[in-house]
Amino acid sequence: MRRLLLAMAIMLPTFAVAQEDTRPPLTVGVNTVRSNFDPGMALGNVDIPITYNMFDTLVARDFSKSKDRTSYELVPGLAQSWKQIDDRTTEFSLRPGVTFHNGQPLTSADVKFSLDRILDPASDYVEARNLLKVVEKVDAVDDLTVRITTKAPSPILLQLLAYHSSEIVPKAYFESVGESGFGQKPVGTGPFAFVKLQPDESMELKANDTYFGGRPTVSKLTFKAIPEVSARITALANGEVDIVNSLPPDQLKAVESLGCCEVRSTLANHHYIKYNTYNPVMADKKLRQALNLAIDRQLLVDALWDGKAKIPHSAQYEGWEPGLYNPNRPTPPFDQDKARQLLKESSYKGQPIYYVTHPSYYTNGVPVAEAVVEMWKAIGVNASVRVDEGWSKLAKDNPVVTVKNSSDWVVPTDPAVTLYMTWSKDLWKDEARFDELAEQGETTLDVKRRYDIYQKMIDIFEDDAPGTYLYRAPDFYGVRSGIEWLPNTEYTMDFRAANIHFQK
Amino acid sequence: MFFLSRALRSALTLWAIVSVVFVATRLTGDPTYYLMPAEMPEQQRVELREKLGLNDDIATQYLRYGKALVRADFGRSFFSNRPVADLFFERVPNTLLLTIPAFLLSVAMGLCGGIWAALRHNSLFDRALTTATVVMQALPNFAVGIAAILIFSLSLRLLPSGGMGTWKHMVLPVITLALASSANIAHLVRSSMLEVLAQDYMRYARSKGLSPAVVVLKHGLRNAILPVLTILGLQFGGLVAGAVVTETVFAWPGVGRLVIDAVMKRDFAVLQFGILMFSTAIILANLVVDLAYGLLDPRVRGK
Repeated sequence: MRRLLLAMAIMLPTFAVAQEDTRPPLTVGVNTVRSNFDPGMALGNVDIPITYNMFDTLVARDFSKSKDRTSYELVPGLAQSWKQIDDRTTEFSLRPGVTFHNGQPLTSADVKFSLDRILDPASDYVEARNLLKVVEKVDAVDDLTVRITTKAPSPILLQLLAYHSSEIVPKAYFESVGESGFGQKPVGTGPFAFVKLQPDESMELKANDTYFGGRPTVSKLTFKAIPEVSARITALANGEVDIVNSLPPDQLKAVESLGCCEVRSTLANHHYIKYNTYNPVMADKKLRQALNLAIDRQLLVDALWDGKAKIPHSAQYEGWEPGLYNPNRPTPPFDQDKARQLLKESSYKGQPIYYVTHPSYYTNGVPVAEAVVEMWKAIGVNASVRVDEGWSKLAKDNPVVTVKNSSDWVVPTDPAVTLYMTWSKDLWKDEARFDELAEQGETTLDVKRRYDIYQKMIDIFEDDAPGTYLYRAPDFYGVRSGIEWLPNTEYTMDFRAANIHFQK
Repeated sequence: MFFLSRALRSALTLWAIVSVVFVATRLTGDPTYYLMPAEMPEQQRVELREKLGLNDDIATQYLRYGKALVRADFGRSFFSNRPVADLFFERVPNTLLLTIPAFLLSVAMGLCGGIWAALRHNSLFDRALTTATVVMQALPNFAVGIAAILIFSLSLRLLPSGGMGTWKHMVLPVITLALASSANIAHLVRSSMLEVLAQDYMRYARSKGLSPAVVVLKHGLRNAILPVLTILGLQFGGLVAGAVVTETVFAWPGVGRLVIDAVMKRDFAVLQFGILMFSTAIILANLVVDLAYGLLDPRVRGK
């Protein structure tokens, strides 16, 4: 019996090692690997795929509830539960027993430090601080309890805490290595731990087997920087990488024809156009309504996005807090006869209308501009495309600015942000009523009241037509067949155990 | 005296280059569009620009940059917030790992090819080589690189398509980088050698009964090499420029990638430092060529 036990004791570690070896490594080909992975700083769409797999937030976002991986369900993350203390205060109970990759236990001091370093007005975290501007203070009540107080009641606090800039870092380690030291050797609580960073070449991570969300199914996760699209596809074909991101729509056929691999997609944010209603040419709302009706959005979706883009039900996201989305609102109609009719009734007298776009900032930005301009010409509008590098700097008093393209800001995906930030204080002259409602919405917690406010705002937007949504653009990934993995929206590549499996 | 005026001229050149880069980059773009999404509200952008010192007019920024330079402070990257000199020098070994083998390879191929073609003037080999050199010089090296990836990695599966790691990762980028410059060298060696071969002293050397190898290499090459040396200095500059493109195509983490990325994102301090270093390297290379002239040609030394 003693012998048997001894034999088992000797075999146990070997067994653990042997099991380690059965998990495959995974290599992901990405645009670039930058040199700073402090999650408060590394907020670019090239950074998020990496930081998301190393860090966690208090509140986690579950993307998997919708088939296109865009849902925004809030679930426990590093906080196992939370409760509202009053209008402005929420108390979070931290998950006990969580450790950082360096072995230090997670405590409320780490949470307070992580958020305070961003809130400090003298710190470098300008973008992250702007996101968290509703937060007044963070208090550690005891080792595993944190209270967050907002300046005013905020319906979007939890969503903000689920965003990447709110990822939790270890206080002691961060202070010992400093901000730039941390960015080069980051330590988090996530499913993968830092091994080696070679900026512009690769980032190597290894499985964190004690991850609270489950032991990873991948032994080693490597992000390889491959800036050229064709080189990225070649690396996929060769088996040098297993997954690649940011495939342009014109390369999908090339990937599908490889035989080894599949294209998978998720939806990103809305692309829209804005009319400059300060410009006298665009002052008549009948003209603007006519322009909206003249756009054949389905044609854009099919011809330029492989049918994978989606036409939204007006200015809405399905991922909004449950109870805010109205599925009965129609998608923008395409009706050339009605458009011609409205155009005739309007004060428009054939003045030139310029659709201003950046040459390359948005995928398909220029082809869409050219197509829309042709659709407008078809109803008798004197439209043309203007390609301009400095398109976002052109102000409302510039006579060329009549129509401008853009995509909306979705952090977080709540109407308080997606509606308000998109249309207010820019090119819309008669925005007063819209803004007034938006300000009410910002501090309203009751969902029913929020629904009324935001639906009213969309009515105003629809009627005054300061612009229109074209489609929700997809994001394409190439994946080796046999790897069960789906991309999430907003550039989030999740390699946690629940989201990646390998067919034997 | 010669050295002093050279140094002074070099310093002046560097100053002019840095100034042009300083002004041009600031006129063409705004790094805040790469630091934060274009959809961010304008007031946010203004705050960030203020923090980065970009709201001041160009003259003020230029003066501030100049003052810092005097203290040997080259600034920090907007993106990684690290000193640009650290960012640059930690990648220099990676770039040298490509450029030194590429340089040696291009000199070796260029010399052998050029001499051989000159000795077999108007032969099939000579014509083939001349045609090949013209083609290679005309082809941009991103095209050569991508073609090489398609053939050797995608079709033949012999070599990896990019990245750094084993010697196999080096093969394609080194050859891509070496090809254009070896074509240049071969072209010049050939014509220079042809000229020398027709000289009287060559006939004399042969008539003395010296072995063909000694005639060609000692009497011929030594005389033919001088114009080639000048080109070698220029080739070095070409290799640096080539590395910028080759590193991007082959995902090689060298200084070229660093600088290209800085151009794209308008990371001013990194870009300025990169250009400053490239220019210094090219100026130094040309200085070495001038000194080498003196060693190889007693007439230059005498002057």
